[in-house]
Amino acid sequence: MAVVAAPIPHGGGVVVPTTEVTRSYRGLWSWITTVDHKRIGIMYGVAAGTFFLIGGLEALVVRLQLWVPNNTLVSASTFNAMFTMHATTMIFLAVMPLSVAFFNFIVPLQIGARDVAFPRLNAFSFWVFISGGILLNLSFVLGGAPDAGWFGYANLTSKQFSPGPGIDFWILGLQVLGISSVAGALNFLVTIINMRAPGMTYMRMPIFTWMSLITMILLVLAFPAITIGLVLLMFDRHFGTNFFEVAKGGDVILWQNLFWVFGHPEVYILILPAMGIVSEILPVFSRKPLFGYAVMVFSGMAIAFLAFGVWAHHMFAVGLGPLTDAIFSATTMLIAIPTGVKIFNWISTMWGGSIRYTTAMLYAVGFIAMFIIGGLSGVMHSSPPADLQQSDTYFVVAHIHYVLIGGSITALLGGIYYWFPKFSGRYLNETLGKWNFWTFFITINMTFMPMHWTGLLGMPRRVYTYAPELGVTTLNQISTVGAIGLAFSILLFVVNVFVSLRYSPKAVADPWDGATLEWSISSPPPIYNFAQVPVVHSRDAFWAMKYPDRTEHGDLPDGDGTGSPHAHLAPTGHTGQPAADLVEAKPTLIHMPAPSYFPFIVAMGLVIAGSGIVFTFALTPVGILIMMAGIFGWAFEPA
Amino acid sequence: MSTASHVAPSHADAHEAESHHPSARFYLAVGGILAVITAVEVWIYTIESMRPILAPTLLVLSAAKFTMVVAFFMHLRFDNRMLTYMFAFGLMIAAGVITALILMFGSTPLPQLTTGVPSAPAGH
Amino acid sequence: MSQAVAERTSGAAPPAASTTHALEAEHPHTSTGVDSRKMLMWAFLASDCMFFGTLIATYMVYKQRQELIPPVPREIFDIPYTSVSAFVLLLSSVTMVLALDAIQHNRVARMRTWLIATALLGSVFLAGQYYEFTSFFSEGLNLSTSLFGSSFFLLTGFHGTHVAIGVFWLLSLVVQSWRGKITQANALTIEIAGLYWHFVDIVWILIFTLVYLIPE
Repeated sequence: MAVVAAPIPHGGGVVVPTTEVTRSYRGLWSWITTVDHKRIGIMYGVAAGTFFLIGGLEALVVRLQLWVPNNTLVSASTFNAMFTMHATTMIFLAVMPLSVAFFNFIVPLQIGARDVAFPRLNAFSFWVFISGGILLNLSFVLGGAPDAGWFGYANLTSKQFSPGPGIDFWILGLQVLGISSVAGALNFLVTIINMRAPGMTYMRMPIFTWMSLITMILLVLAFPAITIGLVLLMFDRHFGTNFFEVAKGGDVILWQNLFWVFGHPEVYILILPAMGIVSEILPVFSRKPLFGYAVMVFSGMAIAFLAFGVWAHHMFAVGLGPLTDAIFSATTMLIAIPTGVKIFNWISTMWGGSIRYTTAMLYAVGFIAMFIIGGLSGVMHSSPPADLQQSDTYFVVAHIHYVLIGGSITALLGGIYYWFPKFSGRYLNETLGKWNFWTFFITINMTFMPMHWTGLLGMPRRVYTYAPELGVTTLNQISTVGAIGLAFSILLFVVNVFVSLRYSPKAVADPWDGATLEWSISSPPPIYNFAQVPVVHSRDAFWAMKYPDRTEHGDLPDGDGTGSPHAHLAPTGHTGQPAADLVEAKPTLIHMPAPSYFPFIVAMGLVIAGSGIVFTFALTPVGILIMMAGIFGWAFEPA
Repeated sequence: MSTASHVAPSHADAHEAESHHPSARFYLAVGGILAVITAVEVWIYTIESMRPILAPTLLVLSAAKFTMVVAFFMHLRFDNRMLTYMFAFGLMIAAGVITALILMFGSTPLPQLTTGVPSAPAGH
Repeated sequence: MSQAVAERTSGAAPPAASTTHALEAEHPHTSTGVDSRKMLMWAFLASDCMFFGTLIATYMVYKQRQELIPPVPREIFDIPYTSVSAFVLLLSSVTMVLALDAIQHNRVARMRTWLIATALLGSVFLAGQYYEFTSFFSEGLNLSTSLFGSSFFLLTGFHGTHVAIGVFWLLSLVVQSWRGKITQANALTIEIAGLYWHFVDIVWILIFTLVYLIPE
């Protein structure tokens, strides 16, 4: 809200409809009608954080149930609902939207744009996402939560075996979230390709923007597979089709194929933004450019391409035949190469750098370590004979949590520490941050490392209890203690956010001596982002502006190898003062897109239409009418 | 409206780009060729002796129609390369997934159908 | 000052450039020179390839299992009838591109005629599909008869939905042109609708071959 009250840089050149903007920047209505990518990013972040806490509580129920053998804390069916909703929530409502929060807030700033290509479509994506998430969670009180696992294998999801509304809620939730994701991905795809600042060629784009672009391609092409799979499932459940009805010749393996055609690219959708974040943090806190930028970009592309050719490795246990197994085993081993290349590049980036271990940097380094463990157990799965032993055991659970918590969440938390000043105008407290990091790092290993053993000892995943004779009681108890510790660590993070928002010092524009354009403007940025659209002459654009006399390798002049995290918190002459390049262009008038409530209306119409599947199909035409009214308002609105 | 002249060049550019578009006569010619190919498709479908090579022939013909519509009616031939890359990548992934799924399911034996289905081999 | 803002925006932003106009005021040219809305449509079509690809894959995978339960495709398909439908949709692609050609030469009335013709041809196709579906129903093929029934109706129904949305879109463009909203300057509005329409046509080219003409 203070954004507009802040003095506008460079005198009278910039004209924003200030009064109008100030009015529109207060109150609930302003959030509902906002089309500002920064506010939408913040809403995504807050919503994802809330869902993350809900998903975490569900995980705690699972862990407490597994505290002792033959435990009766919750029933088997509650347990099923808990692990299903935990996974669905964490993947679709926490990690993905948290990444989207970064896309929203950071990408337009990194490419020097005033907003995304389609601001109202962006708002629409958010409102669809949030209502989908809420509906999915309402299933707990409206007739039972989904309980068929996050990949909902047919025919467990058939009317026969899941007569309740839980699966319908799951179908509805995933369809709605898919629409949100695809709309958002199309928007950011166009934004990154089309809205780059003058001079920012593809090979000068910040690496996070690059990884975002690749993620968008994956989203756009992967989601249709699950959308169609869910349509088939919906028709089976409600309109009498036979796609997964074994008695009528339907093949349940088709569902597995469609799901994993989506599901494996989805894994990279979850990890590529995290890799992008880490690739931004490491160079800044090593004061060295990213090692092998071009290789990083091309390995990202290789991952995107191969991601569509490995899906059946999730299905080795089906018995697909030796040829299919061999092909998918080979492609899976192949995809480890670009991934491994990235790891070596991150380590080489740090090599010989003047490293400052801020909390953000600790998270980035922690990411590398955890991702190596998760990546190695992943490569183990590429061998079908080994995979047969590990399928559906806790070994796989350990793997997925090392890449998703040790990987994605670690990097996303690091990203929050890194960009929090830009988001909010305040620093996150570093002392609390260090406590947060070390408790997090220790407890995730305590929780998930023992699962490698529980899995290899034969404990199946998704079974609500185990016998004492299996000999996994102690290992399970270590995991449960770790999970409680992890909850404590996340609590520290939440406390840090609230304490820092209130008591931390106001952030300068460029606290970390950053390399990318978002650090060239104030923290938080003004509503129009850039008073002058920056002109880019090289990679690491902002470093190039600040240090025209960099060495030929792009290394920064020495001067801060002290390791003191706050050495750059003090203004060093470039805080809030755009470098000379930024004021090259003649000041122009800025007219920002007007707020609009039509995206909200269209989103509500869509969700009401969709919710026909769980309530009554009479809702569907009503929703479609609302949606059409909204679309017409949208199309003819003088934005 | 002095500022309006400032943006006029972009419109002029746009029109210059448009002028590379083919003429109406060209579109009609393409439409004629497409109609002829479709007629040929239906025609060879009726010829008994074409049966052995019917499927590949039809695939080639429909791919030709597909390409012509995309290249000329949708102007991909005359437009920015980036659009071609975007569409081609999606098309390639989709084609790959379809092919892989057909091969995978073709290589696994059919499950035996027992209930509610007339026994198959006898019927033929 | 505010007058300056107004001038600037009115000059820089054609009415149809709705969502991007504020940004176009600063970036009259996008990074690639391609209008963002057109790029959005192409990216969507790439995504739509996967939508139809998944449905076609489902149909093809189940094709080998559907012979068991009558009515089977070879018996029920009326190829001459469907060929006419295919011609109709093909013709609508030609009229669509002629509408674009007309507006690019600033002939609004002619464009409107071609748009109406396109929407009509689309409606004829839809009517044909409705008749085809009802005749299949009467011959005993419905969603639950067999895998063939399930996957056939879903694939062609999904395509029909696309056509219906397209017809609706074309009609709204006709209405807009009556209100004088469509000019040579924003011929792009027609071009984007055309991209969608042609895509629906090429999907039918594939369906016609893969589903109807290639019998087994």
